[in-house]
Amino acid sequence: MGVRRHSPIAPWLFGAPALIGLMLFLVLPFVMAVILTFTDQRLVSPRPGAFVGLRNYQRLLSVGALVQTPERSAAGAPVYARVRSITRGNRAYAGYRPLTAFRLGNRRVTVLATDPAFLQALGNTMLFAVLVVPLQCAMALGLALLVNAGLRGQTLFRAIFFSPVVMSMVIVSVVWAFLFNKDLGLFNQALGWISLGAVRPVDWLGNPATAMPAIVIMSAWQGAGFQMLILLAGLQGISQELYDAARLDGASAWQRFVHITLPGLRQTVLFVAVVTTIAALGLFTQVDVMTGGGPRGTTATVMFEAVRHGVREENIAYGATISVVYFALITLVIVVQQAIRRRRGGGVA
Amino acid sequence: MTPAQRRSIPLRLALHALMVVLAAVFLFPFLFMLASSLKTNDAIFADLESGRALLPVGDLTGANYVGAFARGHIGHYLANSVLITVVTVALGLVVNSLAAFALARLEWRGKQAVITLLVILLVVPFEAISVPLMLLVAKLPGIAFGADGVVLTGSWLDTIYVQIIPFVANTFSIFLFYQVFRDIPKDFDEAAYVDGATPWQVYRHIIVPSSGPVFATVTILQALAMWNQYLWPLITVPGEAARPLMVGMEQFFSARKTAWGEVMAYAALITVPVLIAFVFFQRWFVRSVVGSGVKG
Amino acid sequence: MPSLVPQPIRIDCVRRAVVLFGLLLGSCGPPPPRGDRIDLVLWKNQVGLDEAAITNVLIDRFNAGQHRWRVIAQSLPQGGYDQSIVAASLAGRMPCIVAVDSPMVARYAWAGHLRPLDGQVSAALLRRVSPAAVGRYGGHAYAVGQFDAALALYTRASILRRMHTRVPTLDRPWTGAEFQTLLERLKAEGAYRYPLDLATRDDKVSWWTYAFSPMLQSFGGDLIDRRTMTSAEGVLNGAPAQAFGAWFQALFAKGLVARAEPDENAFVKARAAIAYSGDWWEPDFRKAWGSDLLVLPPPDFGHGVVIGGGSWQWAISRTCPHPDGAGAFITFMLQDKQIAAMSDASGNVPVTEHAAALSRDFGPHGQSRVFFELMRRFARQRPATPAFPTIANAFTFAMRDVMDGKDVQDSLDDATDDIDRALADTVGVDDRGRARGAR
Repeated sequence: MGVRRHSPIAPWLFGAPALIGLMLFLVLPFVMAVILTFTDQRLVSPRPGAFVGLRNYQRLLSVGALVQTPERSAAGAPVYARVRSITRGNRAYAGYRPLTAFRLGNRRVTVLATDPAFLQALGNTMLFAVLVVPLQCAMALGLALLVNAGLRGQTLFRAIFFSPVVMSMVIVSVVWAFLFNKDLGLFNQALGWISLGAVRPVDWLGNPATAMPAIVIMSAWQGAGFQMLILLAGLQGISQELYDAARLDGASAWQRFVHITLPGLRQTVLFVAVVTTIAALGLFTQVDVMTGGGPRGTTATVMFEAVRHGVREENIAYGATISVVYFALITLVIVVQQAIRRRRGGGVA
Repeated sequence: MTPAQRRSIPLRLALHALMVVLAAVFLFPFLFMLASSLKTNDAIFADLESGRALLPVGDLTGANYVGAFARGHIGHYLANSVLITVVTVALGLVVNSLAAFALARLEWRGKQAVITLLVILLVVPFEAISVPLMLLVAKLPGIAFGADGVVLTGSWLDTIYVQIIPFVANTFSIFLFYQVFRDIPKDFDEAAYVDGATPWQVYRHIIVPSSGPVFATVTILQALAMWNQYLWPLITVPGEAARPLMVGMEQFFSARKTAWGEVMAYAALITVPVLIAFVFFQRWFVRSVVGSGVKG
Repeated sequence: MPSLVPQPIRIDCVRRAVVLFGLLLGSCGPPPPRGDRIDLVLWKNQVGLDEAAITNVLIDRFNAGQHRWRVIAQSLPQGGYDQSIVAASLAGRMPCIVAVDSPMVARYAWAGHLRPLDGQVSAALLRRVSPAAVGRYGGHAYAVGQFDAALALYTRASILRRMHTRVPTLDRPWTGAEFQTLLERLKAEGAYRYPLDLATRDDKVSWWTYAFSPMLQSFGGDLIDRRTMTSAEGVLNGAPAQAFGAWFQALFAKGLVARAEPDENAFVKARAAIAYSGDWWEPDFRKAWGSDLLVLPPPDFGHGVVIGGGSWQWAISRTCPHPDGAGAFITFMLQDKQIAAMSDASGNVPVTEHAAALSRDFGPHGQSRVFFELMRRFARQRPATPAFPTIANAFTFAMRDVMDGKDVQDSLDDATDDIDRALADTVGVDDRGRARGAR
């Protein structure tokens, strides 16, 4: 770098308004949230929160295991005592609930956790991100290619594909909930019609196996227009001469796509993927409006759990603990990812 | 010659057909909203099980729109929302681009730490800090113009500025500006500094003019976010004076039976202007992102 | 369109924004005092058109009827109502009079946001009001409602005739077994895919608690043990509660109730034969079925018919500088004439015998009399404890899990543990129900 040509305080002057704003309205509340995690503060309470040490973290993160041998066998299948009865009756297991169970020989091992709903929500959120990010980016890319093909009316079509982004999520959710309805919804009617009645109606939002995929489809549909726009910009940034040259060399459309379009879009796609991932990890509204976290917790996300405990049950200390732990996990992932990328060279930030 | 003109006619027809089918897939809630906004509550539900739901058919009425204006105070809330969006975006463009300039173009100790901090702050979801932030602004001293002139108040609650000031500085915007500013060749400002220019002059006369498009990008992104703000004003703005559009819609859901016709009319009045603005600005937006660092 | 690209921001643009900003603040100050009257700010939740209109009429009547006080009403969005009160309380900007949802009264009283009505609203007056409409905590009345709501079963006379089923009465409601038999016969008949609509489409915690915890009580269980108010153990997860859970689960497993109806009109559109819903749906149902409509008490599952009692109620904030004015307003609103006016205009159930008699619709021969009777005979309040938000959430999540096939006992144990922890966290074991807020 060259010699410094400005006074040492200049950068601080330029940065001050934004940094003060971020410190006051982002960092400070976050620090407050961290402090809250060590208290038992509630939103409505006659007393200020008292210091409770790591209790919230213990309640959120403790895991254990329970190994059982069969009590007896019925019709060849081993029968075990009810886990809940054991955990609720034994002080050593106070506060623990079953998360999942597996068999080891004739023993049954039950993984216990003090807040299995949080761990389930963590898994659900990861699943959502893993499903929605590729789907939404692929959809967006397809749309971008389509509205960039120079067809008539493409401005109108861009607006149409973009329209779900600006629509009220509540209304979008109402319409989709109807589409997904088991008995009258369009989805099942279409499936039944296409399969000539072979496919039985699916209760999309009511079945633990299909609820999350349904949310994924709806979310990808809702957000793809936004990514389409950014990708469209990337497409237009690729030099037309490259395509012309390739065409002269006799490259097929597919070859042009693979060898020119995709490499040219690499940075844009990366950016879009990062933005989509951040949004996916914060999934809340769709779940809150469409499934309320159900059925049986299969669509509850981390933010849903944080709002449920922190806002609706008014246990703001516990809600803050969920947010802080989640934030720490994501930060860890970013730091690791950045480190790997730095070793490879390049990166978004 | 554009690529499309080289394509065979059957291919173009096929692509067109595909686009129309996809358009239907993307448009149906919008059509549903528009059609329903012209129907009575009964008619909306009666039509729900057929394609009629998407069409303006049957006994149509403008009463929902009248209701949205009369009952929804939509004019007043619209003014609030426009003001909040415009002021936040305008202040945000200045504040965030200045910070990005300091990060991308100036040399100082601690810069790398600030950049890392920004990347990390990028993932803090608003839901995570909304309650502490609410506790904070409830006790921040504010000012009000009352009958006695300017008075100090003990709180930011129930004001327009509580919806603006916390959102001016924005990590995502700084990040976007930073990426663009970083890629502008350094030769220009080096030369300017040699000629005795101040950093302010470099920012004002070199950096800003050569990165106009990213200002457009940030404008759209922040404007959309501000326009759709819901959770925050819901908890900090109890009164009607400073209430924005999105919260205004809540009153149609508050009754035990939702007045769906009015909800749809209200939603249409929120959405359609944004879409029109989009059609109008989309070429500009597309170009702007091309110019910004996003494309790499 | 290069002209549309925002040019580099000029400072005068910012200056303009700052000026604009300053102008705006002008509209946010408190309104100037007028005349010699003392202003009392009132907060209420946003409600349906009719109820909002009649409330405003009554407030105008109060303001016109005396010269000391002027009530200024503000409607708040329901979604953020609680947080608004908390924020206002922190900022020392609580209004004088607040509308509070009945199950939340205990919590606000406990937290010290409210002042007891003692001395402001006469005890004799409160005694005339239906017990479920008075919000009590720690031995004091903190809030009182001008109206209540009532849940009922709706069906059509023609359906019962066809099924050869007797029409239940307030004195002799259906038993759980009779109700179950009817549902299964309706299902077997084949005309209804799902004979009963429980409005489970609405996944709001407020509905689930309001609608289904009375059924739990009718089975002999409860949300928490009301004698100690410190635990749900044995009550929410005891044998009666498990029987209730098993019955509830079977409704969905047998296809007697849809997990989520596609819209709220299953009964109006004749997709369902019976609907379980509040009095506020009666006008729509009446419009659809006219004289064929029957409004019936919910079934007695063994421990009597139970419906939820307690709607939105008026309370006085602790920081209100003029509690006597607030008391005067609440006393005014509790006049039989005003209660009757509210009920006739909004369809809400009146809370005094005299008001009901005065009312057009709820009088002895009024078309809505049945709702008054339901409320008078069967309404029971939700437990008055500061832990209510957790109780409502835990119960709702458990029942939704039960609906979706999760083990009944596990689900109820989960809810019990959540509730007991919240009770221990909030009230504390040795702090049962004694009003901390009553200082």
